[in-house]
Amino acid sequence: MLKYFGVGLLTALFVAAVHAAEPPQTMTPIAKRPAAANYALEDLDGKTQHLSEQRGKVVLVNFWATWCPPCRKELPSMQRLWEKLKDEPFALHAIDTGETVDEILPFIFATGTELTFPILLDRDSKALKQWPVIAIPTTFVVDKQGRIAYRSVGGREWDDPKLIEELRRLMRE
Amino acid sequence: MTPDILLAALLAAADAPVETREIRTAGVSLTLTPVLPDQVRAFYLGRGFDADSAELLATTACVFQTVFRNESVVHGIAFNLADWRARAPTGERPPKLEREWQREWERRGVPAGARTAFRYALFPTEHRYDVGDWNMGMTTYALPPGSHFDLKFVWREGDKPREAVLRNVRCASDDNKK
Repeated sequence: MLKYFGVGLLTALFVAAVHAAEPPQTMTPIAKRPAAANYALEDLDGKTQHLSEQRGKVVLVNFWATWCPPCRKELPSMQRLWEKLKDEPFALHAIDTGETVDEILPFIFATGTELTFPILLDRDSKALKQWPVIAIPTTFVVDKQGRIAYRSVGGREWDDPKLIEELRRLMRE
Repeated sequence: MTPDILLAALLAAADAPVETREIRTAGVSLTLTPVLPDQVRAFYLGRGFDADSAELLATTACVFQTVFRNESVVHGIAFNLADWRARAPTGERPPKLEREWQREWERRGVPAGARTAFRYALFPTEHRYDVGDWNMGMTTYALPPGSHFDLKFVWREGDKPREAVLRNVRCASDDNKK
């Protein structure tokens, strides 16, 4: 109960603090595109997912946690993005850091959106520490060669047409 | 409305007033919202802190939910919280940084998972924002609950140093509930 208490209050503070201007929807190109660190993480169904198995696809890799209000806010837009691109050479991995299935599921249901993209469990935060993540949410776009092509710090509206256009351009490379 | 949001709304109404302070200037915006000591306790107990450690955080520091945005459509920015200053009647001090807290948590034996959650729940000490980037996290100040201060915050826009002041920031206290 205390856990939900604290997270709910942070959500209220988030709503109070972030209602102002919508930020521009951007992804920053990463110079020289460094290789993305591979990971092998279980999804909510217990199936192990490897980043390396997505070679040949553009992969959106999002680091999040249930107690992070901007993370929660952007999840529905990720679902809309997934519905638009799932039949293209595209994958989406939302990597939860440091939490369990029992902690994650209530928050997924609370979004009011059925999330059908893979949510991966980084229980010991090992993947988080291998990626250049300073704050969460941080999202990376990995190109078809397994290199980090873009980074976004802070929440986004992931179904923004400009972002979808950039992802499709990357798929065509 | 989910139970957590409902609870938050009820408590927010009961706990008023805490005052959000915000400034938009020179291509950035900064927003500080006081976090009540009870909220701090609840959040960190939920992340695996023991009661004494959560109490230390709730009672020896002012905690603010902090949103810092790069609103420029042209420039990236960089910042280091160690360069920021809280100017209170009792003197001037930087925010209490994550590394200072982590030393205390390690000494107290706070579990690694809880310390990682703390790391990412706190506003990062140093960061670089490109166009469109922003972040939200807690900043902490070693001031008594209920203190007032002005916050001088500084950042770099390319090679140019920038600074601004967010005035009349007020820390929450347990009295906010009464």
